[in-house]
Amino acid sequence: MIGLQSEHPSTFFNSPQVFFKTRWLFLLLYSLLFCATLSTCGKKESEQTIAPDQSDKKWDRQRAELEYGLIQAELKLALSEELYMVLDFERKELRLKLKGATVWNYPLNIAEADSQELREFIQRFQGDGGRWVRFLSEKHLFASQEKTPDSILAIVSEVVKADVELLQRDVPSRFQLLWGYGLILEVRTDIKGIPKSRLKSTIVEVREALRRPFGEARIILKMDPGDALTLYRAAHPGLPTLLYPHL
Amino acid sequence: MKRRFWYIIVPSVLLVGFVVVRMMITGGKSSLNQMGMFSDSLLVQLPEDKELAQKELERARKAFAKIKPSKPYIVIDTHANTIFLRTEDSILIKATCSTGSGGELIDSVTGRRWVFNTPRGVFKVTNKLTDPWWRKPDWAFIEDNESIPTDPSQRLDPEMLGEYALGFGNDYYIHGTIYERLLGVSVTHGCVRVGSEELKKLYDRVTIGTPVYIF
Repeated sequence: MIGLQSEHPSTFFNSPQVFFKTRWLFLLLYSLLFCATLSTCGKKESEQTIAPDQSDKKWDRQRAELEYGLIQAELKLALSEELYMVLDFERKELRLKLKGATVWNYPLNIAEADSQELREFIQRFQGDGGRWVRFLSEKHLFASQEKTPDSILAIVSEVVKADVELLQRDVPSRFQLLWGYGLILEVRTDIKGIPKSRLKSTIVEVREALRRPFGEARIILKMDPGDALTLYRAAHPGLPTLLYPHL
Repeated sequence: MKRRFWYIIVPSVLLVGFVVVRMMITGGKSSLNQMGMFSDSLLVQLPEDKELAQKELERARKAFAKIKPSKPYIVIDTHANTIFLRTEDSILIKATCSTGSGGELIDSVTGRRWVFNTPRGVFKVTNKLTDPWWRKPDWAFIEDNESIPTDPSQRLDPEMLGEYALGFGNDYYIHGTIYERLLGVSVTHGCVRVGSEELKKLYDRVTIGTPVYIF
């Protein structure tokens, strides 16, 4: 304790006697820091919770509050000219919307066996405070196939005077959308793709393996290649995502 | 020295290592800041009074219904080069199209610059044309290394746009093409090309004022 009160920290470690008197304090400090860091890992963030009014069962206030919150959240998203995604578990659909209008949709066909995974996904998405909007933090393409062969596009690019890269579209064979907090939507198609950036894919796989002990929720969705192409290209980091649970 | 190593350096390295691993696990990002703008919506609550709450919910439902198009609307998917006429729940017409290449053209003489993107956002069909003629803009001549004509009639091309055209936005069109083999590839200068058969169906069903959503 003497060391901590010293006004000359530079002399603190020069006195081994004083230092070893405080070693337990250091160990305690490190333990506390370690525990604090550990406690935030994989934990769903806490928020202020909305206290549901249980008193009026007929009016079903809880359901009304939920619907109202979802409408307000979507109205805010629809104010912008930007695209947003809706994970609609009520209608079992994945949607891309613009100004409130559906511009793309795909059925969320989740097998019964994966219903536990689905519940976990919804719970993690909501966090402790019943959150309905999250932002896509990352997307990763594992494998894809070129939509049009480069040889053909080379001829087209001569005619239209545009780079082949601009004209090319990668049809995904497998990709992931991630929202952080262990939330993963994995999309797979029937096409046999060529692996993209093996190093980055390995890093993503290792990161997920490290994260798994802290909990994750992964939904795997089988998709038509054309729809997967649209979703992969349209879903950019920062894309707002709204979750509609079962009302 | 040895004790300092065990009590100071080793725990410090472990702690830093742990933080790095944690960052790897969480992706080193947090969406909490972005969530700030939506945190309020979570706290939105209906009034305590039941009647007021019901009225407020009804008002919100009406506001929500208002933002959705009540009639069929056009959607242009620039990623997959597909055009749809659809409603909220069903697709009425689906066709392969071609959208802007994203290419760039700079006029070496004047320094003027064009980027050939199809605009994204929400628009409305402003006009419907049959047998449209294309009035070639300056970039069409610059691109082909031709001199820009002074006679306006030399700019006119009766073939290029096909049989129908639907105008939207700032002088953009959904129109036909003589290059149908290129449909599905992003090769245009910003307009949306559709095959003649599907364009006819689209033209027949679309009215002026139909919303056009492009993403």
